[in-house]
Amino acid sequence: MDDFAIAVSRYRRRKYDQSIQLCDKILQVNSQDQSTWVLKASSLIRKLFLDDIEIDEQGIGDQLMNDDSINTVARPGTSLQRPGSQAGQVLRIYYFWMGRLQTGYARPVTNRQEAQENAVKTARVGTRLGTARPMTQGGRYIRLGTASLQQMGDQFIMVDKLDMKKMAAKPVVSRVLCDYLIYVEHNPRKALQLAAEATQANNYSDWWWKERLGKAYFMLGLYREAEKQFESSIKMQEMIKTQLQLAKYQIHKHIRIYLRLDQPTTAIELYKRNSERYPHEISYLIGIARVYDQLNQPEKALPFYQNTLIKDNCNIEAVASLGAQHFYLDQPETALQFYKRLLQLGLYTAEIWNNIGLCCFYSGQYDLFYSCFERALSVADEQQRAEVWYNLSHIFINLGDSGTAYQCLKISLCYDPHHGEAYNNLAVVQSKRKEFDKAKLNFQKAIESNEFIYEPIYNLSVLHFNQQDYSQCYSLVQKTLKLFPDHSDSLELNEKVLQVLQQI
Amino acid sequence: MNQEGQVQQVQESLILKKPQRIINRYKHNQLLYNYFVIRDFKSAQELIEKLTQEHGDIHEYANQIQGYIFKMTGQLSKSTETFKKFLSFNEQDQEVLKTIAKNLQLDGRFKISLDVAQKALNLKKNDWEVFYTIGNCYYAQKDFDKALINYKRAFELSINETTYNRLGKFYLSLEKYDEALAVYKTALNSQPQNNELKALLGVLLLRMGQTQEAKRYLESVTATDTKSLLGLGSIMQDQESYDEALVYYRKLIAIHPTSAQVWNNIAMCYYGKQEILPAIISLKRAIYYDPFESTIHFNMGLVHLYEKQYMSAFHYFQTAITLNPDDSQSYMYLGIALNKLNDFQNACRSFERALELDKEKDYLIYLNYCIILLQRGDESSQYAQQIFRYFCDQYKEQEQHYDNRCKKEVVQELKSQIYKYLKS
Repeated sequence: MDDFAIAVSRYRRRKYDQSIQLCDKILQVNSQDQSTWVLKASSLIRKLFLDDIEIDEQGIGDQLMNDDSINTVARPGTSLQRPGSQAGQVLRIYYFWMGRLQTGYARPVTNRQEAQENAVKTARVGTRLGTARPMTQGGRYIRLGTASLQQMGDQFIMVDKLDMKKMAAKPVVSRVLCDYLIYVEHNPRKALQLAAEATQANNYSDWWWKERLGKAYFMLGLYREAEKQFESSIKMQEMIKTQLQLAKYQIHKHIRIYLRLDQPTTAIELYKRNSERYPHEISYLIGIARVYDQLNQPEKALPFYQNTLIKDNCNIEAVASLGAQHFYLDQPETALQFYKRLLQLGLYTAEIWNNIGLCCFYSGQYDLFYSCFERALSVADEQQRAEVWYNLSHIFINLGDSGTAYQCLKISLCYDPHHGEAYNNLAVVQSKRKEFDKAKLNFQKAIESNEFIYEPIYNLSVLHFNQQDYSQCYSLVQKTLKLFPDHSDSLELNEKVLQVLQQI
Repeated sequence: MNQEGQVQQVQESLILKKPQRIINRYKHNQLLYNYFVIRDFKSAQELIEKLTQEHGDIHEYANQIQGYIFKMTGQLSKSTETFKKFLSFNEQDQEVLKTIAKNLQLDGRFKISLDVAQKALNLKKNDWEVFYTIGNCYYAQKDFDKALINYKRAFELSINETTYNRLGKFYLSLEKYDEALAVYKTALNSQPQNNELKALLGVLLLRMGQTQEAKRYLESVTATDTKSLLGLGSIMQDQESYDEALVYYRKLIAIHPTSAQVWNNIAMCYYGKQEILPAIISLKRAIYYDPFESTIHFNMGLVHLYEKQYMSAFHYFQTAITLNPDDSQSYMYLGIALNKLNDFQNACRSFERALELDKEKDYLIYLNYCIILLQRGDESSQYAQQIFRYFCDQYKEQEQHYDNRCKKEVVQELKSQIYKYLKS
């Protein structure tokens, strides 16, 4: 059988690695084989493809450099920037002095995280320079015209040598190339060039190129420009009703822009409008739920996750989120069902066993929880181990066994020496044992290792207050109130300290 | 800002006219005082800076205010330094000595503070603040007798919020309730309209078991005071009017959403109303906020025992025991749970331990032990008889006491049943 036919068949059966191998073999013989080239590019794209609708988490760098959000002071409940600090909202973290410890447990694995891992892996693509001689043969072998499209060693396409104008004139090759640039090379700049040329070549009337143009802008962080392109693409698209699937995709992206521009309410409205138009598309429902989650309104997210499960009962993210939410709503038995479902779906990770263990413990199934944590520890990596031991310490605290809890926290800190919460809880346990100096030290470490949690600062201030060290206490309370202005205990302590200090 | 402008104008006119000879140093004192009183520390500090530039470092009032500002913003050592500078103007200034002593005490340097306070005392014999400071120093050094003497002196010299609070709390920490009560009552005589005092008195009376009087005090206080809300709630709870108690607790939880004690009380209200699910949820929340409190775990055990979930109950009682190993009640209930789980031997051991720890000779332990022994059958009936006799003795003594754990009719009936059984 013809090698090319086999390669196509493998591509269709989603055996991309084998397909690429075969294509390599053909290309070694004839490096100008255009169809093989297209096939290899498509295989690479498919292999490394990640649904980038799924990733919209911003990195710290993005947030620092974010100059798109116009309003720096957010109205309560309308912004994603500072959820949790506004009055009347549900607070997520509670662990204080007197052992208000975090029930913090690792967020269940969602497909979102997997996609991100993928992105990290694919970003490490090496580049090597090289040249090759074009060769011509008859039949279906058409000369591509540029040496840059030739494969040399690891490097499949010499991006820098491409002439975008020429490429844009070839409708099929250019599209594959554009996807290749976006998904494999992660080179939005080149993709933008190509898309711009291609749009021009198509007299500004091709929605596909406009969409890709928008995508490239989006990757470059030029959200306003991206928005324009998407909008005009959708306008065109709606006249061609046959391409529904793609329209959805574009609308979806449209919403993402609103999210990044920090307008969650607008985004939710858009999601809702579109989910009425396409009632069977779950990505809108999940989208709404995620936005509510980020806004710290989990009770509103709940029905959307439930609806998602009605339409797609294998949706891992919905199952995991529902599990977590039921756990926090004091229904560990229900949460347990969801996590069992995740196991059925074939996920076998430390987080899930950890969560099942916690659910078992809180629903009173004491004979089961221990083995769950054992399993979690057996599959966990270092970071996860720190979390699992941290959770175990909670269990022992709940059992009143502060000695073992102390040990667990120590182990957790061995695996992750920057675990602020663990330091805090360790200090709480120590102060329960009246080892105040050690406790102070650990609170200090907790503050250093995570400057965004206010609990260790509050705890330390209480410790200073009890030891009648008022000047330290005062400055610490001020710090706490800066991080969390509505913290009722801190406000009370502040009043007490001021009362002491202001006696004249 | 307006005032600031005026100050500058005044200054400029000063410079223009140049009344060189006599400079009125006290000119800005009123303005400085105003800034200080309205807590506009920034403007005050600017003014102080200006004054020190004008007059050098010897402006008395500016220095004084500067010291107070340092103190109020928590920079105690700086404040002490400022006041010490102040002392160089006049070594015999009693007020300054007093302030320095207080500062040192707040900063935790008790010995030096005591020395300074003694100097102040030599200058003026009857100053309650000095006695109060000395008392605080002794208290921090755990010398309670000397602290008490000084607190008492301070209280005799002046009855005010600081003195009665301090003395009252001191007695409470030593569990001398009658003395504390006397202190609060004298204080209330001199300040009959003080709501805070009434709340304190009410809670204290409640703790001493004088419910009626406590209620009278607490109800006269406005209903937003947290102490009175908690007190009234617990009175209502004791009288088994749970809905009213819940009303109080609901108000309280809006103010303190993270208080484990309040959640615990709420849970026990629901338990009293036989609504188990809300009780468990509230208790879980209470444990979440304070996992080191044995009472909450104990209550959790009770609720689970009622629900016939003996394994969970066992775990919670065990936790309560690890947190508070001297509690006979926990051991008794642990014994009951173990017996229900068919571990008779360990149940017996648990009861024996409860009897060992029990100092008040609680009749319920004997009664429950007796029942368990009788349920077991013949082999332990003799021992059961003995225990029953003990129970009868204890019950006779304690019958008159108020006890909301168990209804008297139930106990009576059980007693007669066991009596009949043992006879036959």
